[in-house]
Amino acid sequence: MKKLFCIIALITAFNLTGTLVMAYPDSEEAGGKRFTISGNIKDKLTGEELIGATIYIKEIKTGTTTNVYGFYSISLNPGKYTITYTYIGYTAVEKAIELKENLRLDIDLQTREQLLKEVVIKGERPDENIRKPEMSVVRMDIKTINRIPALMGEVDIIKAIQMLPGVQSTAEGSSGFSVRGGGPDQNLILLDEAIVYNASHLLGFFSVFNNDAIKDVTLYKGDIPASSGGRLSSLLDIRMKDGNHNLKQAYHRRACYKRPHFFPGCRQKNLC
Amino acid sequence: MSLGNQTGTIRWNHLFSQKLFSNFTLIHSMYDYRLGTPEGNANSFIWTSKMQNQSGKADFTWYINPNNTFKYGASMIVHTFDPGHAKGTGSESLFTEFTLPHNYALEYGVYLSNEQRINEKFLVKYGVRFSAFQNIGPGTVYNYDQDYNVMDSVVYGKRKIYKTYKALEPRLGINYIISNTASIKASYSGTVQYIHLAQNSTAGTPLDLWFASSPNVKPQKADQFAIGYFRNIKDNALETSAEVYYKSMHDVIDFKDNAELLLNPQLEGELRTGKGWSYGLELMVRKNTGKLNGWISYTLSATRRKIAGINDGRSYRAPYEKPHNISVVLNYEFSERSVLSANWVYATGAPVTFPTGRAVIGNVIVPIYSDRNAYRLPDYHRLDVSYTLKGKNKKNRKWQGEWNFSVYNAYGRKNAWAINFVEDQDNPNQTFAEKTYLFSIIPAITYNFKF
Repeated sequence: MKKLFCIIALITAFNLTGTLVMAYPDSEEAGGKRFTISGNIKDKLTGEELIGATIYIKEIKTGTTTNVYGFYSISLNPGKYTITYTYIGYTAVEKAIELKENLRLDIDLQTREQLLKEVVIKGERPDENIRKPEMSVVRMDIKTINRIPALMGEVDIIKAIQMLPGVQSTAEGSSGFSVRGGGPDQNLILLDEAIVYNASHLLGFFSVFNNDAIKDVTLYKGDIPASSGGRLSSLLDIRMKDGNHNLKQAYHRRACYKRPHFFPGCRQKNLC
Repeated sequence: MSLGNQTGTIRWNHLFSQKLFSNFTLIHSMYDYRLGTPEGNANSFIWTSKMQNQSGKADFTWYINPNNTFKYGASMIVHTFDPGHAKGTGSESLFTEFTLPHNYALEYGVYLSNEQRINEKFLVKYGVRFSAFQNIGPGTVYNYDQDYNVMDSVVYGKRKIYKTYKALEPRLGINYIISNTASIKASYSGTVQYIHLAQNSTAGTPLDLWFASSPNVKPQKADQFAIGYFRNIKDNALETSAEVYYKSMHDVIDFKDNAELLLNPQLEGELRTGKGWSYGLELMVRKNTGKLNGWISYTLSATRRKIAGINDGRSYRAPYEKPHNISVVLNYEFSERSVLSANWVYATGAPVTFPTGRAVIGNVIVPIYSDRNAYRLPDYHRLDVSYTLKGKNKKNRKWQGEWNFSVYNAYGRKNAWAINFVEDQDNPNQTFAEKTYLFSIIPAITYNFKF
């Protein structure tokens, strides 16, 4: 056996983002018989916008989901409706409304842990994978990623997606991955919409993504949305937490080597 | 050696009306890479390579009615490539300073797409992306003859656009809902790639060099067709899916044998381009709820390339072709606080080129190599196990702790990372195959806390 590699130094820097969200007063919808219900869906405790939360209207068996900024909008004929708001791991909220005019409904959902009581709920509308006109797409929530056993107890999303069908690791311990036979450079990796050119960290053995700061991960193995381009094989769309709006909170992790810390309250990623 | 990624995003979301959502984003991304040897030797040097981009984009979502969601937008990226700068370090170093010229490029995209519910059974998503790429001066372009030898070079001045590529990328998805628990989906997507990566190692290190399309390097293109069957069973507790795909790739880039990538201003002369194709079957069973959850997946696939100037123009395996691939990810929740997780992966060994013989020329022994990627490393498999125990959730406690015990490669398989052929010191007529592996059993204990 050979002496394999030595790790000399590592500097990884991230400057995270300020997010400005401004909502103007709703403009009046002129004419037409339909009215619009719209709003933002957030986590009650942290104020974090929830991506892909489901809005379902019982009476007409239809619905929509929030976009990557937690916003939704749906237009309906006037009438009485029961709207159910759901999100994986969160308690569903049901609203009975009478639609006579445009409605702004901002909803705060609570996690099961926040309620401290076991409540039986169903997260995603359970047949979402059947209903959506998209295929070759895998969404992973951070809880799933966190549970996958990893090298030195260090969880990492690139390792997690290497466990999906059609995704190959390029070499042991590498954060490069090949989607449906493509090269590692044929994956568009977006971190809060910014292109990441190299997902490796620590000589490629640990990924740059600090999973404590990650909100949502979606891999498109084909059927890439028209809004993205520039790479041949896949889109890995990673959304970071906006920063905790309602609560000061800090995460620390210590393993047998140093890693960056992340403090969601102050939107700054420090170096170690 | 060090590397870094820096990204910064400024975003503004605005509602023009309750039905028109917009997002404006300005982004800066930077990637740099440094490689060097310690000071004090004659061959001490430091090499840096950097690329950065500034981009702006505007995205709009128009919620027309419950049956139509229309999205459109535009983006622009300014690329700056600083492919390499090397200099000697320390007084003893014999290296002189050497810089590869910077180059610049612009990338544009405009798109339209609509997600439409035709009726209860049919949903479609259709769209098109128009993209363009321009090389902009200052820049130097080498002209090559048919044997890839440099004939001459042309120098372009500042802001001179010297090459433009354009492409139309259609995207289409169809969903036919058979019942509440089953559907068939099909999709087609056309994609184009204008910037590429030169790598001399599959592990993502030590050399990663991004380069742009140019008069000599055409953009890579791909067409992918996929069809899948999706079925949920046991009241949606189990999600199963089967997908097949076929991907055809054009102007795929590979490197000639013994390509010189490091600090080579004529890198483009080392490239060969041709076609590639990939097809496969992906099966997955996923359970998201219950005490036992996780997924099992199996992939059967093949990827080949056919490039003039490589493997005598005959088709060969692409570097990441691993025909059989199995992943098992399982979690068992004993309680809210305690979870046992395990995953097992299996993949056919990666394709490699081995020496198959040797020739003696004068006093020198020269190895003769097989066809490109004609051999494979031994199959790869590994089991990882972990157990997580959370602290009790007490109301007054400000912090939460979590213990994690894990074992990577639990049965200690010595998976081959590389196989090298080494000449016997005592008997040059003998050659040994030497396997390098990275990790055997690695246990770890981690304590995470949150406050």
